[in-house]
Amino acid sequence: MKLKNKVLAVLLTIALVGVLGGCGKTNNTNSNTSDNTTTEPTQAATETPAATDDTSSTDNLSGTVTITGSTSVEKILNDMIDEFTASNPDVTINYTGTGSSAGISDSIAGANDIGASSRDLKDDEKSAGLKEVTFAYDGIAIAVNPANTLTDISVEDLAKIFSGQITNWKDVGGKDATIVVVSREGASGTRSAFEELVKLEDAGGLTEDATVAEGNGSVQTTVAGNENAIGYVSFSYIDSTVKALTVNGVEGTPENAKSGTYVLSRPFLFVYDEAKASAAAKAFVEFSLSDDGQAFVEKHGGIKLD
Amino acid sequence: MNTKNWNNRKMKDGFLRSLIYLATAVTISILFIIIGFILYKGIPGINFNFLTRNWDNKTTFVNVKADASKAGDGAEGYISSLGITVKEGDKNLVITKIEKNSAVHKAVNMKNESYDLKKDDTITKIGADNTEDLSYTDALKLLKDSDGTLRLKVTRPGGGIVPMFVSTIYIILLSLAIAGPIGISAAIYLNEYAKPGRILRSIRFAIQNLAGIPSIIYGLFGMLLFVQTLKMQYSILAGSLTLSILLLPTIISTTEEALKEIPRSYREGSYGLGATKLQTIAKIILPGALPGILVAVILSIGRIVGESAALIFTAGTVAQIPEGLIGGKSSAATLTTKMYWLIKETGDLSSASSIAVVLLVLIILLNIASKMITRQFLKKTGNG
Amino acid sequence: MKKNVSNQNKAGRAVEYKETLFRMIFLLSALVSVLSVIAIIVFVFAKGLRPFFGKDAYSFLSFITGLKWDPNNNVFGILYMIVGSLLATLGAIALGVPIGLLTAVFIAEIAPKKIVSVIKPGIELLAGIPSVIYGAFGLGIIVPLINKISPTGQGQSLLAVICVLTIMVLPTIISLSESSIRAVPKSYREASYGLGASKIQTIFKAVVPAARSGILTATVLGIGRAIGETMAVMMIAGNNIGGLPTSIFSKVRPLTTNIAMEMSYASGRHQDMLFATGVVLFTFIMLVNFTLIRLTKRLGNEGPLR
Repeated sequence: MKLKNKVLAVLLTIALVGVLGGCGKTNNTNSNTSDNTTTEPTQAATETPAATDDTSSTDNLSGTVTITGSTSVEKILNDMIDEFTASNPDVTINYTGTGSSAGISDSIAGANDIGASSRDLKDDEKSAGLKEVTFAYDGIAIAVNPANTLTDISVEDLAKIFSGQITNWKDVGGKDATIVVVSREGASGTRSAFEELVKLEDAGGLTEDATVAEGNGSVQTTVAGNENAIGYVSFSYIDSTVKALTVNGVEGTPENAKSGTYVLSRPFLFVYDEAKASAAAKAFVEFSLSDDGQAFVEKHGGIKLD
Repeated sequence: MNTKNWNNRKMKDGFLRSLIYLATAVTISILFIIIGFILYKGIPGINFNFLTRNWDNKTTFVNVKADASKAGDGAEGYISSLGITVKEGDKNLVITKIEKNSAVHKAVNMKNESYDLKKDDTITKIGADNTEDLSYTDALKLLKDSDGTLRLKVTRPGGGIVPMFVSTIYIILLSLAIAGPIGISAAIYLNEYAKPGRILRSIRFAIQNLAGIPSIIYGLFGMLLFVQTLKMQYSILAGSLTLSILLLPTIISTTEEALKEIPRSYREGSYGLGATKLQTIAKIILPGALPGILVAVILSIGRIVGESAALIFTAGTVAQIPEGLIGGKSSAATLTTKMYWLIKETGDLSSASSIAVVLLVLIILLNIASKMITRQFLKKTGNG
Repeated sequence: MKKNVSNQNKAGRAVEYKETLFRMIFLLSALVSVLSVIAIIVFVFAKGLRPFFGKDAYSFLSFITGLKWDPNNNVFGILYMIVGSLLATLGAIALGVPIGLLTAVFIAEIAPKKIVSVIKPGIELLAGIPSVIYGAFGLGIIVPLINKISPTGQGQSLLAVICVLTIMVLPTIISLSESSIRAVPKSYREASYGLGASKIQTIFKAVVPAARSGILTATVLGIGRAIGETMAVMMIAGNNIGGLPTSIFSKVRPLTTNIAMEMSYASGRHQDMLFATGVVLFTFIMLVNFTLIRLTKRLGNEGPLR
């Protein structure tokens, strides 16, 4: 009993200390612990990690690079960052998916080092004079259920379907069934790219009937689970559960997307202020264009530059 | 007439009785369907790797000292200079076996820190050559012939829930460290000190309100105050602080219930012996209320484990073991938020269900624990 | 002698200080709840009401009566979401209360002890399952089922939301109703039997009416849970961008999902409007809370409301 009481008293004390100490906890911030070991093999800014060790390296990159912007490039960027920081261990890269518009305005305001965008810059954004570097292309695939007999669709019909002017599959050559339109949430880069590419605004905007799914994955599952659904996803989300339609008779292949014959394609860009960007930031952009960087573009279903 | 009435009543009774059975059957079958669904979808995905690996693949460059003099032939894919055995993978080499005194145990990364290679790691680049550009035999030869320091690009496969598991535990500990003392102290105040009046009324009113606020509102608030205004970014501290507020009503009311159970005579006895109020609380009341406090803690853990809406906008959805309390590297997904993320981003219901199975097991364990404590408590006080 | 007294005084004063100190600590801890409520209200309302004031203000009337949500075109109307939230809650309560109450009756009055000891942990488990799991369940089982019977060919609907919310409010309603039924004094039952009533008659004519304020509390708590539920609902609601629901097969976009869906990458006015949605949701919750506090006062029960 006595022992128990003592234990409790201790517990209580700890608890109370916890109350008092609770406020002070914020001090342990992530101070960048860049312990510079001099012996480590260094890497020049523009070299790919493949370069041999004995190359006389010019400078040792360090510092923090903040990237904000498009969420569509998350997978690609995370892998690129992984590899880049593996070979440049003193560089820390923080990527936050905030959406293309936010990323670009961050770059204009100087709130990040690099902005990632999954659409071309608008005219007013261009006026800020940022450097734009395209590091990949992406195609937007029109996904329907594999049971759907349709194989091709025109951009005009897409606009009509997504704006609610066409509501039955038979009007575009399919069977007699109501079309279930699946779109993305308001801030999605894929959605704004899609709506821009099919000129949905001119057709009256997205139909109020549309199902709105959060994320490419949700669109894919919804379409896969519904015979009459139509949605749009990045190329990489097309698998056996959904079928991609050809658009204006053109198949959605990487080549067609890059050449522009497949109309539903968009670039992935980095935007940054060339005068202010740090060496590490520039090196990262260079890296994204290198073979090693481009490998990740391909790995995640994006379209390489070449 | 009488029999008619009697029959009528019997029919009515029978009808109502069957309604009761039907409702119960519905409730029970719902439970079975949900758990069955989760197990059916999730069990196939659960294996050793799922429980022990990192979530993301991790790519690292390492330097190893190859010793070509250690010649020797072994089985197919045996690299004598490194003391490892590899097999052909998808455009890479998969390490299948590592000898005890292998050089790869002394591998260092670019920061010159030790980075021990493990079984199932894949080699995707040897020196300057990507393995995908090499045939399997060429890659083998390159490895075998290398001498001196060799740079390898090694990818450690992911697909496991370890980071989320660790993050969940961090968030549980942090939240309890913040909310526990505050909640228990508040309960002590309410039960031992407070006198009826405006202060007590407003405190009770606040607690009841907090209990009713949905977690998405907590998420909004946490994002605004902790993430943005206090510049913690998405971090485990921002998440834990948000959760702490959300947990307060649970902790306070459960603790208070336990305090109320302590008989008045205990307190009076203690005062009679000359103990001060504080001494009475520390030595008599809190020890007696300990089981109740433990139940409060367990209930809170359950709540934290299941929480998602309040965490997504405060702690983020990155699958990593957090480093530090605030800032970019401390953003972390718990099991539940990752499960949500999986459904939304990849549409992968099976992996999500595998995480759900882990969550279910956790919750069942917590339920059992709280049951056992309560039972123990009842036995001791003889209230059972 | 004198010295001794002063020493005693000193010790006494130290004890007193300690007592006061801890009293203050306990009081401050208790006030954290009050501060939190105030902070939540101030922060959420300050941000949520911002778009309706100042120059370039958005009309509050068109916000609260609008039938379309289109952030890209500066259209923010949430009436259809309010209607959706209310209908979903109403449906869940209409289904959940009878089922829950009857199950509670079974557990408290009819079932033998052995069966109770199996069912009760099950219901506690149901209460502890994270809402995301309910969402996955809804997406994997309920939505495909409704897909098959819905005239719109679309499973994500008000009906799906009602189904999942019903399941989610069940544990609350069952456990609270059960304890209030158990709390009905034995004499009520005995008196009823004495008047010749059957067991079922006793339950429905004597016991349940006597437990009605507990059941009412359970209902109000259920309303609170249903209206505030976010993650489970988001996956199955359809989340259309406008239009009032016309049938149970219509898509809905409850207030909560509107916030959760777009918050992660909304910015500027869009983000403020999401907080404004939060303000509306908060107002509803406050109404529920006030009712609840009234009810519990009437019950004379200051017990835990979790």
